[in-house]
Amino acid sequence: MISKNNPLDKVLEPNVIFADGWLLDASDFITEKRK
Amino acid sequence: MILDARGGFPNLEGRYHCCIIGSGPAGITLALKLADAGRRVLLLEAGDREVTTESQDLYEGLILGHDYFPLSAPRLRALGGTSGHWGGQCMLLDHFDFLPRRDVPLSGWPIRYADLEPYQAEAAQILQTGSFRSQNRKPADNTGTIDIVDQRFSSDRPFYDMENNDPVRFGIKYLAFLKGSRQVDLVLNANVVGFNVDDTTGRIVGVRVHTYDGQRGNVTADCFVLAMGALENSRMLLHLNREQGDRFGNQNDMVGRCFMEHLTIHNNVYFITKRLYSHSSTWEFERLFRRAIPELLLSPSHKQMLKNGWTNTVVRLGRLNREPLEIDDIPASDFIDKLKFNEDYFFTGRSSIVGEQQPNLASRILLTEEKDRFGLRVVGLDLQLKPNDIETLRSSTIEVAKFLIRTGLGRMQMEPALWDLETTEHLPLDFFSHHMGGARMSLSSDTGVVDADCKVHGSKNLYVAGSGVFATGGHANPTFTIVQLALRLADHLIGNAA
Repeated sequence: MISKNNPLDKVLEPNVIFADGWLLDASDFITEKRK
Repeated sequence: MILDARGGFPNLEGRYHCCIIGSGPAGITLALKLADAGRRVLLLEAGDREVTTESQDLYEGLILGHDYFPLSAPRLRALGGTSGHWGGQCMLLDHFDFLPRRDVPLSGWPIRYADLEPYQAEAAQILQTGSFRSQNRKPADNTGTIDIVDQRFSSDRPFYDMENNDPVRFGIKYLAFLKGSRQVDLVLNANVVGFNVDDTTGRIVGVRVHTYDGQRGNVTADCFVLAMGALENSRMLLHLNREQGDRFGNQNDMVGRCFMEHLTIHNNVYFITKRLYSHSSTWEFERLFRRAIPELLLSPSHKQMLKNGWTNTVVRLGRLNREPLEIDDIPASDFIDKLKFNEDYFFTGRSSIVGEQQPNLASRILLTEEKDRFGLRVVGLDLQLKPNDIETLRSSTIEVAKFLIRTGLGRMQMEPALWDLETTEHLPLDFFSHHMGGARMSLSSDTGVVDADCKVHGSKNLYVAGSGVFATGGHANPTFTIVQLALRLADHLIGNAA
């Protein structure tokens, strides 16, 4: 299982996306498949 | 001394240096300072000591433009004016609010921050904030894009806490002074319905007053100050100009124009990562958030504003709670599972964006065809917004979100209609009941109504006090600036002006 990061990582150059009402960074999403 | 026009307008004797029309924060501040300098003042208040229906009903008006509050709701027509129900938040305009901006038409005041700075301590005393001791803004990080607005008074509050403090109610706080003053005569229930003008000299020589029971009176003074609130000041000036051929600040049809409000959209939740240890880079922010009563204010920097053509905005971050995100704040059930972080690990709070409206000639205060009980035309408000006003709210919110992402501090929500840049009718816009403009300050009558001394362009002895003279509004709550301007006007009338 992927461990969730906390505290959040710093993102030097944010790439803001809008998802379900949230302003997130594109890197916030898990791209790997869960084991 | 306090007199009452109910039952007949009182017989006033002797000469008044100044007649102030309206007893809100601007009018009472002016009266305090003029009286202190030994000037004899007549203060006319259309309402009673407390709000009465027959007075308050005269604040009804017509909404002609953007949807807005009923016009009798955000203001009070009684002793102390709208301070009778204000939230009490005191902030100062930024230095750069007074400067012209390339992408903001009609921006720039004929005075500067430094012209009001000498009145900070006196304003703080009148508003009981404790002295102002701060640098206004400081960079939030090394990118130069976001500032922390750090306005702090000696009470160690950034500004008044609406929940825990009791704001100054001018009608209560200064009642004893008004009762006991030998310099100030306050007449309650005195409705000013017009001006008497000397056609030869152009001087205002008197005002005509009606009472609620049909009595009439005339008042004379050396000079006159409109301190009735932005909507009524413009209304009275429009009436005066109808009678006087547009020679009182309306030479270029500017009276009532550039009405401005503070726009706000509630963006709902934001969160801050839980693990804020002293060794982490976010520790400094934890300290700031804990000190931020009631809110932490993050604002795009001046440089960023100018670069993007934005107006002055601030994101207000409410106090953090220890509760995790509520399920209602995560609309899609599987949404959080797709993210690298977990909803259980965060402090949460509420945020809103507050923005400055650009001066806009089309946004204006008008006279309608409808008449009130005294035969005066009822006011109409045609509030108009520019696309840039909304774009600024959107972009500034995103800029603050970027800051939270960049620093690893957290994430925030945004109102979806704002992201989609919906038309203003579909945006959940709210307003602060901050009425600014309509009698804007300007170098000439081409772009405004009053000069740098708040004197109506083209007049010899007619002045305007209050936020109606604001050339631009910044994001700051206006009362502190209103009081500073009234103190400066008093100095001008006394002859102490720098």
